[in-house]
Amino acid sequence: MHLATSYHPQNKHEDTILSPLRRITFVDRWLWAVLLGVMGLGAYAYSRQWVFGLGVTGMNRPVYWGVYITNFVFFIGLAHSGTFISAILRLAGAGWRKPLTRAAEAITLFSLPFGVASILIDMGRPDRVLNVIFYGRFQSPLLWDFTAVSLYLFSSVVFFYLSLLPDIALCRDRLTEAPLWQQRVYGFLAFGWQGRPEQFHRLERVLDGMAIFMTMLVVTVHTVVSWVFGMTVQPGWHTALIGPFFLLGAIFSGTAAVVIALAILRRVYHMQEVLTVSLFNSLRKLLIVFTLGWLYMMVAEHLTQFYGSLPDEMEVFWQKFTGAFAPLFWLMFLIVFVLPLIIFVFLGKNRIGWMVAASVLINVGMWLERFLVIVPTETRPRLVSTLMAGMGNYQPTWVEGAITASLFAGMVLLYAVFTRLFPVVPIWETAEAVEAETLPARPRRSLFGMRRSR
Amino acid sequence: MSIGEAIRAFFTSAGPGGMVVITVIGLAATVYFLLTRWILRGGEQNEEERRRFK
Repeated sequence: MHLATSYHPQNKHEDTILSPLRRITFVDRWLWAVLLGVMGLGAYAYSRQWVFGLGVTGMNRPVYWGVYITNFVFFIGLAHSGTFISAILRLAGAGWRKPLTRAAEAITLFSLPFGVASILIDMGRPDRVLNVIFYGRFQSPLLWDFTAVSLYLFSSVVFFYLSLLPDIALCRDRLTEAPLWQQRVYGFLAFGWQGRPEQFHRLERVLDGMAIFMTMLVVTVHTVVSWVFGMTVQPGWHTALIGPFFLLGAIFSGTAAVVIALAILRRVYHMQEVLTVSLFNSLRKLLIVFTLGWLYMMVAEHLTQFYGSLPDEMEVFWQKFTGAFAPLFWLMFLIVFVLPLIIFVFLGKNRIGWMVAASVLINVGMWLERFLVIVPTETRPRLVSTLMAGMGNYQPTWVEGAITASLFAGMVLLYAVFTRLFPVVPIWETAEAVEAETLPARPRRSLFGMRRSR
Repeated sequence: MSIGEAIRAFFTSAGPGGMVVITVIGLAATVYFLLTRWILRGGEQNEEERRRFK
């Protein structure tokens, strides 16, 4: 049992934020069942791959990376949303980010494991994954990747947990009507948090410090992910620009994912007063900047390639612009840049539906962009003349489709369950500033008004 | 073995890379554990004093 001396910040929206936690609806159970069904289909597809090998996929010589590695890069990119919103904007002192930090961090937390899973799924022999530890050699970018992604996942969990801690304690104290197992989970995870001013003070200091570290990590992680490609001497990959290009794309798609998640939460959980339209407008401005930044990167990348006109590079270049991948490439350009920019500038202001539409387009387009970075180079590698008849093609199979669908279903499922168990808007961070006269003992900060728990 | 050879061996031998991974994650785990404990212990003394004067 928790002590009776727990104190919590006063937040007028507390009941609204906690209401999704008070009951699980029939629709929730159906949604979870459907998502589990999709995951089951993915598990069946993977069992086929396990038994018959990677031959059941569309991968072949020399296309060794296909949809799975596209998913890996995409999920790691999505994971940048939380760190961007929570850490980078925290450092920038952007106060408006507070209501949306947790929803963004949750995307980070629940997309990273599926990024890691994509790598394991892509391995012909996943049982050998621990060889990275036993026989790892640091000259391999794959090991840099393993180190960076592991540290990022671990740090994200800690960063997320620490910012959730005061709200877990609040759930422990407020949700006394919740099932016993749920109350025990809150009691365990709260670790005796009592909401003392000094605890809040220290928590803020640690989160500020971690925000700096997380910002460095976010740059490192996606740069290292890009180096898995960039450190090879393959056309289209071997460029110094690939790191910043991947990083910007990651933050771009991650921020668009936050808009989608927030809009759904706002509608489903009736949080119109908490997640206000002005928040979406702020994100809209950021997305306009990112859209233009992405265009800049695209032009810089492809103009350099075109101007150099190296034969190997141009094989890949023309594959994208006029060859087999041209329809996908121009579709990607349309839905990542043209349509979103038009929507954000002319239609999106104060209209959440339009912003969500643009964000969905951006995310579909960014997945395609990852695909177009990876596959055209694989089908036209350096020394393209060594390709024999029938080589250099890639057509994903139903196995890859089913596994991809199951990964996305898994991420949505974890997110949906999370929103029913923990406050999806940080209650303590969005608490009103109240004079500290009600503090229990020698207050050191006046940010939070405290009151005894019920 | 010269320093240059030792550095080269670090990068090209099978094994040291894995040790780096374990060291990095282990160090992070230790730091995060200590920070979490430090946060949770915040104001413990004040609370004790308050109880004593009650």
